[in-house]
Amino acid sequence: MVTEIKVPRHDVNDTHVIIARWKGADGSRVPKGVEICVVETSKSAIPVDAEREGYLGIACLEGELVEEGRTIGWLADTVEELATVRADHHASTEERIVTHKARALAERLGVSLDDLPQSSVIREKDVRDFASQTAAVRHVGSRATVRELPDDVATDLVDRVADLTPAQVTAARRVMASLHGAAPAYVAVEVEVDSALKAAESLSSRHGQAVRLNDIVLRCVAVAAAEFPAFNAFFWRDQICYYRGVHVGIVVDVGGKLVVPVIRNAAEKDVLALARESAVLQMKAFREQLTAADCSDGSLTITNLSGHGVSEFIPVLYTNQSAVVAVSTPQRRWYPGNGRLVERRVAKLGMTYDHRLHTGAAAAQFLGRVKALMEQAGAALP
Amino acid sequence: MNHRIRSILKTSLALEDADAMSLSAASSIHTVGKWDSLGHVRLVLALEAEFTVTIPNEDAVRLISVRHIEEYLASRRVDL
Repeated sequence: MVTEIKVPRHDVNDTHVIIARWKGADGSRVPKGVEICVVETSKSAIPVDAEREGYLGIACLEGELVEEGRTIGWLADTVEELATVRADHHASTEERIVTHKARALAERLGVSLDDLPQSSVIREKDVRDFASQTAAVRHVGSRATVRELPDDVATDLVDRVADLTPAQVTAARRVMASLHGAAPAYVAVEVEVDSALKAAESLSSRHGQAVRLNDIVLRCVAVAAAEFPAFNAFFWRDQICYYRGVHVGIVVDVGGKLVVPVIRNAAEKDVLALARESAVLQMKAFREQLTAADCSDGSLTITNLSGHGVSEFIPVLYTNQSAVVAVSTPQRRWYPGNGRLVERRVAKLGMTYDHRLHTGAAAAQFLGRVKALMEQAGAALP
Repeated sequence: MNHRIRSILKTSLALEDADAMSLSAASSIHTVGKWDSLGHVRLVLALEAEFTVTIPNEDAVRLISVRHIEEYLASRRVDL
């Protein structure tokens, strides 16, 4: 008997994973339950365990980008069965009809036809599309051979070409998928954050735990999302799909690698609980303790560059979401009041939204609600 | 305040010399501008390395001031 090893279902945000590492050798006998492979999404590494005892056959090499559900290897009862399934696999990939032009282009670009998505006919366009989408990927896997540059870039202009990490490749693909899968538009408001900062400080000292401006933003966004369910939803096949519960993703930059742990049912938690959970998730991110479950099923996202002196930035939407809120660094401003200038701290709150679901006015209304909640934070934090 | 803790705060929060020298037991996440969430993570990891102690994530959330750090390390019987 032969059992296929498939890419596990991992995250709604990623349709592909990178084969990060095979832990069992090709052809070796592995016991049931041992970790035989690690695949990597844009957010985390996921172990793949042996479903049963058997001889391990490897179909996809380390560094390869593979789509969810694809067979990456086999577990066979006998060496003979493994050889048979391997031969069948190679035959099936070779049986595809590949046009002459497609084969020539693949050779010229150094694209392996085995890497192309499953299809009975491979045309020149398929190869070109694949090559343009996976230019970085070709340099990561062991099949990488070609380091090409765009036609309109002179080679002497480029100092060097470096490999991206598998996580960077996956993240880049996710961003492109997001851009192609949504109609992103942007709106921003200025929020006076003095009362929110005071509330955070007061809560910190009263309860002896870290509460920061971002936690206040998190609470206010979660409350607003519960009030405006269309911003806690996503566009799919001319429909709007509303999420059950507000699950807020928090973008964490771990040494250049972005991870997005998710706080579930955020609208049902108070600021203290959110602050605690957010801080713990960030610690787990840096300790590499996040699991796939920690990073899955976000219904909207908050990204924060307030510690970087950024006055405003436009974030990229995550797939299967329709809003991502960006928190910038509070700036000091002076306003006239009672015959003198009064200092206020003001932060720009931006939001990228899916224009297929939301008009600019609706987005402004949502963000306006977040602003109102934040500015009343000192008096009546929801 | 403890000079080792001051040194760790200076490094992990990327403080200027003058800012590091002005730290006191009362300095906290709300009074030190660079003590943001990312700096806090670096600080906790640096404390663990310096004092050879494991700080559970749930405890790390409560280290909101120099005083809290000193008291916490003392409660863990860390030799400062």
